[in-house]
Amino acid sequence: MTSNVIGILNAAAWLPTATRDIANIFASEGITLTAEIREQLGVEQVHCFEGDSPTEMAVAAAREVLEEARLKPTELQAIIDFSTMPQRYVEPAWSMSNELQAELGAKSAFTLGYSGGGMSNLHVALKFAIGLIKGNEDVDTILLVGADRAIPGNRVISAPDPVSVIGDGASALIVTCRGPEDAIIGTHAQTNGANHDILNIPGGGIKHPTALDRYRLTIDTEKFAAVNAPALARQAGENLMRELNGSGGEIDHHIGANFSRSDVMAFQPDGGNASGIALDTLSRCGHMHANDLVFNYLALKQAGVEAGARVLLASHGLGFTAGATLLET
Amino acid sequence: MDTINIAAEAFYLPPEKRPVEEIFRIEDIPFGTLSKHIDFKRDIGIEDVHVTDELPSVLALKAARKALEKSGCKAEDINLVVDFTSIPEDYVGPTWSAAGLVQHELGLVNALATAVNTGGCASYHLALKTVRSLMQTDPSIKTALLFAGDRTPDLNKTYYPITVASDGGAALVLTRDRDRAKILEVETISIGRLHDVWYVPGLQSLKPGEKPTEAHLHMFTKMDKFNEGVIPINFVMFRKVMAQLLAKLNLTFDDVDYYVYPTFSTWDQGYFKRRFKLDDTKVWTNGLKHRGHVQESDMVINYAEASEAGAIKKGDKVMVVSNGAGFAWSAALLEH
Repeated sequence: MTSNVIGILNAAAWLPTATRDIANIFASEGITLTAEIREQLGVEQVHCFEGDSPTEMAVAAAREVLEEARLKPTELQAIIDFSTMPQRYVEPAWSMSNELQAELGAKSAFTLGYSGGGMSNLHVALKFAIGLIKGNEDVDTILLVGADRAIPGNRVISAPDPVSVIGDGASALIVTCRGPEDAIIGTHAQTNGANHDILNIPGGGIKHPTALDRYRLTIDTEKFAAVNAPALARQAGENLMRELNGSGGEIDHHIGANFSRSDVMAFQPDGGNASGIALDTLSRCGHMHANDLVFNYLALKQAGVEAGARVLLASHGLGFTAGATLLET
Repeated sequence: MDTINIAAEAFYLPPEKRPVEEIFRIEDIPFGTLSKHIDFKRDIGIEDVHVTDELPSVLALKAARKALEKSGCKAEDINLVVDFTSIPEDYVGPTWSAAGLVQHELGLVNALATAVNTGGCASYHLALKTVRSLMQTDPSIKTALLFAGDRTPDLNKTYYPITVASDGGAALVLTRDRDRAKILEVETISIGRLHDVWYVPGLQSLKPGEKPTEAHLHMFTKMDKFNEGVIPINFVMFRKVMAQLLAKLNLTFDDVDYYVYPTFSTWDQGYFKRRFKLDDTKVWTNGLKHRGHVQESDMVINYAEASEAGAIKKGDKVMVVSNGAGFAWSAALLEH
C-alpha cells in the first residue's frame, strides 16, 4: 500500500450496439405491455449482447478502463468479478476472472469473484478490494469487473406483473491506493439470509439440473412483496454513515440501481440530478444488476460533479444483500 | 496488524459409501494407461468414497454447524459468512450462493453473507486470503465462518485423469483472539490461459433444440490443455508459490514442519513427497484410500484429521497447498 487513501482511479461502462425496444421484448416473451406497466418500469429499450460469452463484454470494459487510467495490465495485482448472471461456464466451478486475466495479459494478478449479492455485489467486491489493499503490502491496484447478459427469452422479470426489464452490459473500475481520483470513504454491506433466494435461477443447479423451463431469472414475488426495497437501500446508506461516525459529512448526490422507475423514485422521492441520471440510464439500458451503479456514477461525473462532493452509491439487492459506498470526488 | 486464527475447523462426510470399483463400472472412464507406469483405475489408491443425495447446501450446513459449535462462538458473534464451494451448488451461480441460506439456518443475524468463487479448489485459499485481509483491516469483523458443500452430479465422481470425488462439506471459524492455527500468510498464483482446463458447461451451453441432461453439470477436462499446459509446470508452480510465501516471511522450506495437500491419487501424493523430499510423517495422506478428493474441502479435512491424530503439533508451521482446477496454485502457512 502506498498511501492511506484508497479509491477509484477510473471507471468504464460498455454496452453492446444492438438494441431492442420494450414493446418488441414484451411481444417476443408473450407478455402484455400496458401503458401503466410501461410507466412503472421506465424502460424504453435495452442493449442486447449477441456475442459468444459475457467475458467479451468484460474484456471490452476492462480494456477501456485500463487505457483511460493509463495502466498496464501487468500493474494489476488482483481481478475481482462482481457479475450476477451466468457466465461462459458454470460458476463457482469456473470464474470469468481467470479468462479475463488471460485476455488482458494481467500476469501478476490473482483472480476471484464474489457472488450472490446481485445489484449489491459491487459493494461486497469493493469492501474486499479495500481489505486486500490495506492488508497486503504487495497489493495496490485491483480491477473490478461485472458483465451481465440476460438469459434468452427472459428479459422481463416476474411476468405477468413485471417488476424489471434486464439489459446487457459491462462495467469496470480500478481501485487503488496509488493516487485515486475519487476516494472511497467507506463501504457497507448487509444481508438478510431469509431472502437468500429472492433473486434466483431455480433450474440448472444441483436441485433441478435438467429443468430448462426453470432456467430463468426469477424473483420470489411473495418475499419481494414483503420487502420495502428502497427503504433498505436508504438504511444501508444510514448504516454506513453511522459506521463512519460523523466523518461521512453531508451527502451531495445519491446514486441507486436502475431496477424500475417506481423503484428509482421511491429511493429518491425528491428527484434531483442523480435520480434524473438513473431514470435516463434505466430508460436506455434497463436493469444491468450491479453495473447500474457504475453506469450512474459515470453519468453523474459526466454531468459534472464539484470537487470534494460526497456521492453515496446505495442498492437494496431486492432484500437479500443491501449495500452502500460513500465516495469523495 | 492483528493476527487471524482458525479457531476451529470441521467437516461432514455422508455415511453412505460407494466402492470406486463400482463407480468405474458405471461411469465413462477412458481406457488405457496415463503414462508408462500408471494405470488410472489400478493405481488411483482410492477404494471407496462418500456419496449422498443430499443437496450441497445441506452438507455445507452440517459442516458449518459443527465448526461453529467446536469454535465455542455463538451465532450472533459471526460477522461474516463466506461460501467457498467450488462445484455447482443447489442453484445457479453467480446469481445465488449458499451463504444466505447458511446465514438464515444458523441464525447468523449479524453477518454479511457472500461467496468467493475462483474456479476450483483455490477457492479455499482465496477465501482465507481475502477474509484474513478484511478481518485485519476492518475492526467490525471479528469472527468469520467459511464453508463449502459439495455433491457431484450423478455419474460424475471420476475426474479423469486426476481423482475420484467424495461428497461432503467443510467449514472454518476465523477469529483474532485464539492461540491456535495463526494464519501467517496466504499466497496464490493464477495462470488465466488455463482457465478452462476444467469446466462445467451448464445449461448456458445448450445448443438450440438440445435436450438438457445432468451431464451438463459434469466436470469436463480439456485433455490436450491439461497435458501440455498443466502437467509440465504443476510442481514447478507448487515450488514457486510456496517459495514466494516463505520469502515474504523470511522463512525457508526448512522452517516448514508439516504439509497439508489435496487427496487426489497415490501417484500425485508420491510426486509431491518426492519433489519436496517428504516422508509420510510430514504430509497427511491417510484420507486417500477411503475418501478420495472432496474438492476445496480436502484442505480443511486433511488439516482437521492431521491435527486430531497428533501429526500436527502445537507451534508447528503447516504449509497448506492446493492446485485449483489446473490454473491456480496456492499456499497458506499456518502456525498451529
